[in-house]
Amino acid sequence: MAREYAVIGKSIPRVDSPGKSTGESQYIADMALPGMLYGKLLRSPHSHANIINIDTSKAEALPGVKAVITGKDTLGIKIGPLRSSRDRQPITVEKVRFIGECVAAVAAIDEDTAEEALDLIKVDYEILPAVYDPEEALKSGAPQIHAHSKDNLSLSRYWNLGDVDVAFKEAAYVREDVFTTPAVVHGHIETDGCIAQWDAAGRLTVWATTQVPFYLRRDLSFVLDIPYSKIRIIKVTVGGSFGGKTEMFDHHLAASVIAKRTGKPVKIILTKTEEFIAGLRRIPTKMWMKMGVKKDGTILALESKIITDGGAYMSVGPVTIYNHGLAHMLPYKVPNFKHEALRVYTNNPVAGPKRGHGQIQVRFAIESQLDMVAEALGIDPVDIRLKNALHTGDVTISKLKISTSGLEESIKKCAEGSGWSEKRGKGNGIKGVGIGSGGFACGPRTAALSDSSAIIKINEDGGAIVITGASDIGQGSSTILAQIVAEVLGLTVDDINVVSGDTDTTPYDPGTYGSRVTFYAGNACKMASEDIRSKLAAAAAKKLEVKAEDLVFRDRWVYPRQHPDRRISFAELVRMVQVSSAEGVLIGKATYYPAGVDWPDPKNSYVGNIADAYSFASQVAEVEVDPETGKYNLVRMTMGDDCGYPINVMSAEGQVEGSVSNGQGELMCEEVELDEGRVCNPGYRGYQMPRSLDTPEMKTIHIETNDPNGPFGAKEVGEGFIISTPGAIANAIHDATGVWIKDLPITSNKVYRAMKEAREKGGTGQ
Amino acid sequence: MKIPIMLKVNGEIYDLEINPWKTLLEVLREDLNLTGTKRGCDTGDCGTCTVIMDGKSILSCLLLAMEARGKDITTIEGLAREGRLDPVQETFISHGAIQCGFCTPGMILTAKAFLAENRKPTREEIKFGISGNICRCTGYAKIIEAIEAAAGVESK
Repeated sequence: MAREYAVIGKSIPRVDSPGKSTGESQYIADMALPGMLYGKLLRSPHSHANIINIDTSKAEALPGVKAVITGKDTLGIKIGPLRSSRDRQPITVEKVRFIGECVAAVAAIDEDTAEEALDLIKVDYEILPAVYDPEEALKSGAPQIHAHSKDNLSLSRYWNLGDVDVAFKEAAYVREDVFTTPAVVHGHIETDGCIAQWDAAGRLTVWATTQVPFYLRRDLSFVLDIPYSKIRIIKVTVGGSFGGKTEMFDHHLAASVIAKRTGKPVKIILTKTEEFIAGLRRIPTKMWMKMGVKKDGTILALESKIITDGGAYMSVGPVTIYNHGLAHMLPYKVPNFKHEALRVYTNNPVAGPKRGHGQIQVRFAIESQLDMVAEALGIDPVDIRLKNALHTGDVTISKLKISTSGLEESIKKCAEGSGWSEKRGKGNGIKGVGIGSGGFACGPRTAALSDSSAIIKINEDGGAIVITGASDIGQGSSTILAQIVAEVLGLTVDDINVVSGDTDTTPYDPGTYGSRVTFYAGNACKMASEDIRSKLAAAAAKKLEVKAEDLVFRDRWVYPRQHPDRRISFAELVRMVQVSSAEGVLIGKATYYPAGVDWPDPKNSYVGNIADAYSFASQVAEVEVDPETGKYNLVRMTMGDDCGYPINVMSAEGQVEGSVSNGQGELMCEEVELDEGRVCNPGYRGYQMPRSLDTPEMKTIHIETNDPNGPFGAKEVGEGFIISTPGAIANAIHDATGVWIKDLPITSNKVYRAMKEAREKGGTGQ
Repeated sequence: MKIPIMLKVNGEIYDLEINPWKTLLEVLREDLNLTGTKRGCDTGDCGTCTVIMDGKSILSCLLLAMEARGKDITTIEGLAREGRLDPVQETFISHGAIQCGFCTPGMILTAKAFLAENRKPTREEIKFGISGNICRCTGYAKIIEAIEAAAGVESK
């Protein structure tokens, strides 16, 4: 299809990048209000203990301290991001369940004083037996962490579709493997924080670095027991989050409560160490995976059992655990599927959402296992993926409707682009290539309101203000939305200002998670600008004596397609309509809700079409291994991404490249090391993340499928790509060394030991 | 007990009274309101707080402000001249090297100091030059390209 877009599909610099390049952008830590106090949180040093008493008197007596609160100064209302999972008091009242849980908070005239005051709070604990291993926690007699959960099982989910028993009998080859993945942190550089202020009329304003301003309002309303109309959340510039800033946390409540008590604004900024200890992290898993295939590699059945360490509280457990099942359904055809997932309470830090939420673990396992199967059957990993790929129009056994799939093309183009056939199996024990593929829902339906809305105001001189609840958290949504509006109205991105993420002034949006923003908010912005365009087109058609549908809006002009010379400027047209017609001020509005989605049926294996589109991706990793030491480097990545149509090519590449880097970290080195619930590596020194020296050569291949449901054909690109990165690299390591490592991260040390073991067993390690 | 010190930042002379335990990062952000310098890990591991001191990139979270007396300090606010962005700022914008932007001031200043010492760097030298700065968003590729462009090195 010939593309004639003026703004869409181009590499346009981010609208917020000039301000970010000069230090002018204000992040939460950069903001201050007159008379502001500085808050700090006291965290539990014990992983499981009853709070007998908290003596705050010495802290309160310290000069400069303005307030000290404990859980008893809150309403003690339990929260959870989902209604079904409310198990956590943000500031705990009677019991601590993990090291780092908030037990008290102070506010003082400066940070040093607040920190000093923390040392003066005396907490008497009665230490309780604790449990850290999810399998141990499930055993009878294990310490019970929550009164409502006798067996420490926080959630269980069972899927059973088709008949796996029959399928495994029919299968020419069946194999079973166990994989594990560790806790991993989000690693955004900006720490979490907020400023809370009450006005004299009893209204609370919270400035926050958050992905979910409307959820933050909902949860603060709940724990403070005040209506939404009394709370305003203003999302400020967010310094990265990747799922780490998706909830109402202890500091939001503490700042709000102390601000009310003192009548002064309260600012709380966490330290990076605090975040490593007390923040959310990716859920650790142990996965028993069984795959049965025909002789030609066609997948006949998958069966899996997954036990996860959810830590002390539920967080978004119901979403995480659904995602484990979902990850089996994409990107291959699976005719028979049986799955059991158990999320277990332990006295470890809490697991929450992270980019590729609940799915990256499963894809690592399946992508690895598929290559093991291919090897056993003598099939090329590229061919086995092509054999099983989901195509446009397919419906999965769980009723996901694949409106478009560029998977086959992504596999082929990655193979071509990487020189797969010349390299695979020819690395002489040093070089290796591996492939991984994945699929991802574009904004899964949520249990709460899923809609995204947009309002567009046209300025008197022809510029536009886009008002959206969608939060730009650094992924670039404000730029994408500006491009969409500019394209529809024939303006430039420069003519558009995006106002976002303010619960008082912008319409509802569920937030930035589940890779939903381009799809949901993008559709809403497109519809809202079409609303305005149709009003303008009607007026222009009358004036130019042509049909409205023959008009072109481009480069700030409006003209009949066949007669570009008979044009009227956009600004003049706006003046004509706003000033001289009954229309008056031009405001466009729209709400997008995907018509074709279902809520997964809990009584029937969570069957249901969770999203209106699914993205697909493949990637080929190339590694070089030192056979002496096991040390290896990721040398090159060839990435084929089907995001439907890239609204902003440079931005889409940025998402894909960032995903590869994050996935590379999870595969190669990242792991939160825990010892009896204590984080042993709470900082970037002990917790290694990819640095510039680890950057492979990267080549992105855009696969265009032009999804009929996406804005200008676009699907998601922010989250889906990461899930197949670990599998691709693990498969490349196998190609180079002959060893399989099923426990992430695949450190050089593990590669060395596996090769040594293989040699000692009489193999070559190759 | 506050101690008087003089700091030269972005060409301006500031006479201040500070607590001697305050880091340069804290003084820049809290006393001078130069919040473009960001606090990341506060332990010298992420590079986010990088500023240029006497031509070298340094970590302002690890340096006591007292030790910066008499030195010539440049923060991100001092890079643009007469309203014109520095070429490194421009190439970071045009090459998509900025996502969440939190590492950006430190990354740009690191690149600036690096390019002052190495005007024609190779790709590998650039990677080494910014290896003390963590970026979690971009995967570094576009940052490396932006620095190559700023150096006028043709990207292959």
